[in-house]
Amino acid sequence: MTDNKERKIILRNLLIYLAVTFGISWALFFAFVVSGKSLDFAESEGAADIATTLGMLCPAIGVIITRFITKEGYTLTGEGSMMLGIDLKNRKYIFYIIAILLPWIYSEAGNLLKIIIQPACFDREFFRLAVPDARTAYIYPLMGIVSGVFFSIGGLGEETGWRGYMMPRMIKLFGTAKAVIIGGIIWGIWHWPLTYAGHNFGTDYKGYPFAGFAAMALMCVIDGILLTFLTVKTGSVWPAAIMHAVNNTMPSALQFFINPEKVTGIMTDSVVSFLVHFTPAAVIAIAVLAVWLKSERKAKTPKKI
Amino acid sequence: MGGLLYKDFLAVKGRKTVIIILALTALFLLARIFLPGADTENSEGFMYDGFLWTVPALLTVSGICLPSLWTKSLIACDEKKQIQAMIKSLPSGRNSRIASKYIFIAVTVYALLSAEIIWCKIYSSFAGNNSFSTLVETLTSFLIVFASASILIAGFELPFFITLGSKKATAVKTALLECLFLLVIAWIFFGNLDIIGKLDLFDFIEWAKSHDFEINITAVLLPVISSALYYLSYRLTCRLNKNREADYDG
Repeated sequence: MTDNKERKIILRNLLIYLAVTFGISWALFFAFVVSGKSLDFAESEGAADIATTLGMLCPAIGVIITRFITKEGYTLTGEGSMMLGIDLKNRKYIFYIIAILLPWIYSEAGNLLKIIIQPACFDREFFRLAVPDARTAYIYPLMGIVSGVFFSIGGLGEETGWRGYMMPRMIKLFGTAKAVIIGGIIWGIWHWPLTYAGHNFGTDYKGYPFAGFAAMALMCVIDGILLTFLTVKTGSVWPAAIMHAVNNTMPSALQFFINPEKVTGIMTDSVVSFLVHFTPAAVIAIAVLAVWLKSERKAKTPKKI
Repeated sequence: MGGLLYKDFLAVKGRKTVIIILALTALFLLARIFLPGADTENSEGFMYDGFLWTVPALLTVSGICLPSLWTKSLIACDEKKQIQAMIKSLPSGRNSRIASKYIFIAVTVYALLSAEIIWCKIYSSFAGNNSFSTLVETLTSFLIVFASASILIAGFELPFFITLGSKKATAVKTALLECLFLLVIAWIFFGNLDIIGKLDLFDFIEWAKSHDFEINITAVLLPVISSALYYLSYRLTCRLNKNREADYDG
């Protein structure tokens, strides 16, 4: 926590960043919504792809504009920087390995949970139809990880803004626990025009679009905890950018064994299915937050002599 | 390290290159919005697709060559006396100068790869469902392979340039390229040229489709292998320049 004057400056800079980023991103998203193109990948892959790719770069553009307005400068590393440096010393490389592997682990666990809830949807033969060469299904997680690491520009665009600019200021203003929740909700709200246009959940679900809005905000709070943790621990947005990009590739081999035609009942609702899929990530995020807050409290407590 | 990287950025006229790439990206996006593609042949959209697919393809080809073209400028810049004095004044650790070259090339490859993927996505978003889209899709699946090739070439060149200096290394590089050129000429005169006649991009796409797994496994393994070789190249260069680098210690 910081003194009043500093708090006011941080809050002002944060509001400028949010206004700029929401302004340019939502202008872009609304242009797509108004054009009538669906942003559901299943219906219009091209439009969805370009809207999300360009949209993901907007937070980074927001940071560049904000830093120009607030005269905060463009240092790459250190306190108050853009956090673009990479430091692997003091075992920080472990966080990079976590960033690469964690989305794989919770994606597989999420799909496993779907199969446990509805065993009938598990279809050994389905993946033979889903992918041209069945062997590809087995190396799909590795493909997702490699393409996530190398094509992480979209993730980097978002993380430079959300984790590299917004979250450090949020933590200074509100403390870690409140910051990850408020920051996650803001990040979720930023996605709402995309959610409205069918991105992530389509438009054919119960409670459209509000259930989608809520699920998106919840997912962003959960993902936000993990991404912020990695950023704070390494002092760099790179692990978060990599994790974000790998997460977006959905690197799970089990998904090829789930036959959507055999999914029945409440699990056919895309929001419900998504929430089930995301449960392992939520469990991991809550555990991480608990450990993180505990270690913060421990660091603040004066040591007994 | 930041100072060394910024010096390298200035040495290759990086600011100009970034502005050109950003301007071309914006122009390409506008061109694609106003010249959307079409599914059917004999239509204007199909013609636009046929013309515009060359743009991401050209950027990809330039992307493979650019890091290699910059190697000479990077090393030549360090050979100037005032730059050497500047490097010595920077608070950097042992081998920082060598590391900065490797990091700079890696960052360049990453930036170019990112630009290429954005260009391919811009193309595909407004393209018709036709053979040119398939061509760009195939190109996209090969981007990681191209980036790995770029890294491998840089990993091969940098030890020469850093150890021998820009003049001698350029002479070696030119000699190697001339040998390659002579081999091509020899093949044109004495080799079997029927292969060129049989080359067809669309046959290649069909081949790529039928070898999906092999391409994917290459795309997974090649970046890992090339990154490992790139790191080994860095260690080798550090060892070769052990005595010289002591002079640069800040």
